[in-house]
Amino acid sequence: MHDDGVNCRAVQQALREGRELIGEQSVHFDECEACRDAYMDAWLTAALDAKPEVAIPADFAARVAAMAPARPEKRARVRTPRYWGVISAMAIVTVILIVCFASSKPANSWVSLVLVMLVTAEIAGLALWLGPTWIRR
Amino acid sequence: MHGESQFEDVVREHQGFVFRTLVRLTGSREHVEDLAQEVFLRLYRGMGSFRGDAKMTTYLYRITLNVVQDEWKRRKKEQSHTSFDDPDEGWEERLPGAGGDAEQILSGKQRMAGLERALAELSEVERQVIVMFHQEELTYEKIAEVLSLPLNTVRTHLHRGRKKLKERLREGRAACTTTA
Repeated sequence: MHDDGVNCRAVQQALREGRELIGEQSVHFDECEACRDAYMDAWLTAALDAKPEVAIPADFAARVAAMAPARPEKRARVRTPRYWGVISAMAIVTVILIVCFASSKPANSWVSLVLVMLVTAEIAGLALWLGPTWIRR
Repeated sequence: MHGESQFEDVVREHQGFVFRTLVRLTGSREHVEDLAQEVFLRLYRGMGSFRGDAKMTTYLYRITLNVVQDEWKRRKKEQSHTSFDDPDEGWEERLPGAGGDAEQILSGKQRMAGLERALAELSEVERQVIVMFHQEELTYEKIAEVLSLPLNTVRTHLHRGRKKLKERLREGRAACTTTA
């Protein structure tokens, strides 16, 4: 911004109001970077704010509504598997096993054998279920 | 919302936005009616899942931007020449600075054509942000929601886009001055 006897503010005010720059103001505008930048900024804002006029056919809405199918198409729902049932079942089984292990004697009874088999099967099941998910990460 | 008349009301309410945005973002009035039709039919297909008008407008903005993207892709495929010098143009004459005399109108038209070209050279997201902010007067928050971007990113795109436009317009003016 420079002041050669003409105030930048006055020039920019004149530009904002759409008044023609006369004499010294015009010379100042040609030489002053700040005034030219302010003008460009204002012009750009006005140009971008202006809405392009478009000719919309009067029956456009009616035509589009008539083209729409009788009912909106139902979206094919992507079913996400629900694991909560499996998780709760496994939690219950684990609790039962812990209780059983805690209460049973450490002997080679058939009860212990069945319990060990159950735990093994559960671990195998978990590995099968969670394995692919972890591998994908 | 399932009735045909209700859908017609929705189309009537939003058609202005859709047409204007399509014109500005594609830089052409060619096929604009077909594109708008596509926008509303896509909207209709997704209508069952809305819970409020705000959600629907966000969805409509997104569809419009997607249709514009598809149009650009189609043009690229066809490698057709895109004309920004639209024969129907004239709205720029209402801008400040455009006076009554022929020279001024011509200069206004040239500048607007320059602006349209500069807009087309911006990145897609900068163009979208600028059009939504200036032309459609959407808030930063709404633009962020439509484009699924953080608020500050929207601000950055707007600032950068405007800066690039100014630079390109200056370059254009300089080129005009040197060639004149």
